[in-house]
Amino acid sequence: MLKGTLAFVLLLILALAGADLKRRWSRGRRRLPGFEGFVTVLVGALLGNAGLGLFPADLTAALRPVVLLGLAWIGLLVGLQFDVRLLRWIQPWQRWMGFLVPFGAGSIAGGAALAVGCGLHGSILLAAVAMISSPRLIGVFLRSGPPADRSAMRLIRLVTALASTPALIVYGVGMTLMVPAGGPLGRAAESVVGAGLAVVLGYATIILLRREHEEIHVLALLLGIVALLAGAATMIRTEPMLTAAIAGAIISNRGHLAHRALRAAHAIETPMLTAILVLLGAWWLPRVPSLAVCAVLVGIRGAAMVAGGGAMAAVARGHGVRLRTRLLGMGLLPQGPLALALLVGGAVAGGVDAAFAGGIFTALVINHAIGGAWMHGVLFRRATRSGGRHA
Amino acid sequence: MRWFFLVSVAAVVWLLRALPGFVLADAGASALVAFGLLTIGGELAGEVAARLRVPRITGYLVLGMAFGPFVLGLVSAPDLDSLRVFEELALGLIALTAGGELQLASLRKRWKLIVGITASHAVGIFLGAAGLFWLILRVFPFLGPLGPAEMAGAATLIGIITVAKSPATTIAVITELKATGSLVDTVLGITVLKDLVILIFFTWVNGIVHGWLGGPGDVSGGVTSLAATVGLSLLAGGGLGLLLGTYLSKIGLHPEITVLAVVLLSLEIAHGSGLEHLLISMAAGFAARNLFPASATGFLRALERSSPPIYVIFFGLIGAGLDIRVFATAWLAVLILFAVRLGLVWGVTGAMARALRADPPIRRWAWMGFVAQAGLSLGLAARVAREFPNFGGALAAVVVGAVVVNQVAGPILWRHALVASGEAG
Repeated sequence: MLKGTLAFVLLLILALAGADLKRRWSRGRRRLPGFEGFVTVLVGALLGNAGLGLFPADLTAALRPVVLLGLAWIGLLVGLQFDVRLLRWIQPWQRWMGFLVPFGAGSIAGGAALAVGCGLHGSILLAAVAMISSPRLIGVFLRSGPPADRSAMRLIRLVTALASTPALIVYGVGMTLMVPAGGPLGRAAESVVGAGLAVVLGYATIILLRREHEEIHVLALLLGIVALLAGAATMIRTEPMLTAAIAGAIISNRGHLAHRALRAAHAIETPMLTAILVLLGAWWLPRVPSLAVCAVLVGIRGAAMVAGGGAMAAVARGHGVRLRTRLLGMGLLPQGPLALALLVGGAVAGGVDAAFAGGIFTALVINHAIGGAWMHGVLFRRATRSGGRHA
Repeated sequence: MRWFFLVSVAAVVWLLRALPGFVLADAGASALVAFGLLTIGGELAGEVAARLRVPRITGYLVLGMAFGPFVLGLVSAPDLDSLRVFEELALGLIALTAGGELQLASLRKRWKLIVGITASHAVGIFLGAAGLFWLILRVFPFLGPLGPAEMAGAATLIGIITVAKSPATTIAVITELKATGSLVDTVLGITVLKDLVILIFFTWVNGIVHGWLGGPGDVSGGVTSLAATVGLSLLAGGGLGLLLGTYLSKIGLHPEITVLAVVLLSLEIAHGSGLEHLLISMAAGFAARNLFPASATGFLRALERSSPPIYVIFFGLIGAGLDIRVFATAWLAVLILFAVRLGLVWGVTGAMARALRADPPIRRWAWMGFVAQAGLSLGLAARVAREFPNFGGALAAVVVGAVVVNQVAGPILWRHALVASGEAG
């Protein structure tokens, strides 16, 4: 059996190399890209507790600081991409629908999870995961050619871009409230201090980055800030991902150097994400995935997204937007690695078992397949043909 | 404004630590806070140091000392333990870079000088320091009342610790200044060779002193076993370097994480089998660079470019671990040790370089590359404190004090040498 740190880095290399090989192999063979993070989690699962059992059973516990740092880094990235100036440019109805559709679908899925006995902790986590829709697939398809329905594609992109904000808020607030009371400051004061710390460190980052021109020093400073945020947030019993996201949003909206921070943050996004996903795989025990969780996240969330997409299509038509399809919600089904990151966060916070995690993971893969197939077959149908000819 | 922010954050962290129930609740979170403070503070301190024309690492060290458990206590002793893996990881990466800097062709050209100066240090500095301190201890008994055998033993141990230097500091300053040239090549070669010699030499001398004081003094057994350790470490490192070079040339995917894995593998081998982590990593870098020059060179350059965060955390942690309270009680002994060592390093290096007709920059400036002391000296001092309870504790305290002064003065002198010799990039 290998030791924690080495085991972790070996897992990381295998996961990254596996993902690269898969990408090379699938290039030119399939038009629908695989679920991002799937190989990473799979490698972890095959070599970890669920598979060969090569690595220590307490790997996740031993590397908790790495997981906290990784989650806070993802949170910072989400925050850095939250730009109020961009929100002002879109029409109010688009803004409302963009937030309401994922929030509504997530709330319905969360309520259903509570009804089938997932518990409050699991239901909040599931609600947050259900709100997330990935913009990645659209980006991939767009590279092969224009969509058949440009207006529908724009609306789907809008929602997928905004969906991470309600998801992160629900996740962060929910997880913070789920921490048992008994801290030295009291729950309300801890939340206020956590938010205050995020704001102060966000402004501090702007000041710190002003004179830094070399990317490596920007990266070092960001790493320090995120470590400080993750550690301090955990110490005062608030959610590190949300705290980092608030700091990221401050940097993005109050500074003129947000692009520097974003570039540096993106530079190690893949290793950070891979690190936490591979740990998720290694932590997962061989349990039958929870059918109830899977059904809620696929069936209930899918129905809610399709209904929300229909409502959005109706509102859009009312505002004079010409749409060829009403099934916008189908395009909101695919979910990205942010959903998996939330799952890791939930697992670190406790209260998530392997069956629950397996249920969510299975549902994410199914949602990706259904939503991806719809996009491929309907939204980008003509583009695929013309793209093929072009190629 | 930037410093105001740092002071504010430090105050908040101090407050968090002062409030009961926060720190003990989560050791991992506390370590993350320490990591963040050392990184941000180190970056700012490094910038100030650069403005003052001293090496950035001096800034990292001073900041680490200020934040460490012996001054402000913002980074606690358990935090240092939790972050030890980062320190070892950084040391491995620095050693890998150092090994990668050594080119066989350059070493062949300078081997006489490298071997000559290393031997002169091992003999000249050791005998000079041991002799001088044997005399000093008679006049100024700063280790307390000692018998003749103990006095000789203590002087001998001081002599051997005086020879030790910090390879990481030398390499960090070279990397920061992007320095190249004959002075750099020579000092790097000596740094690596000296690291091998000092380990064997210390074990040998340690055995002799134990023999004098009536303890277990198996000199030949200890040296043989250590020589085997050094040989096996080099062999293991060579194997890892071969592996790394093959991977970089044939596959080359995610090289940064691959190197991290190589360093961790070296760490695991060292912990599991008692081999030397530093030597394994150095040998790995050397093998990769010289066996696969095309694929390893570019990558090692990239590793150097991305070194600032590694140095910030490594030297911040080193600084935080230095107990500067010793100055309050033994400042005179510390200053004597510092002055004696500085004089011997200057005299012996210069004399040998002149005797071997080295280039003028080496004759004049090379000694400045051997002043800094850090991990190895502290490790030897800790061993002395453990193995010689009569005087070891007091001796270790004085050595730690001298290491603090050397570690602050060493990088400044070495930077000056590189700039003055025209080898700084």
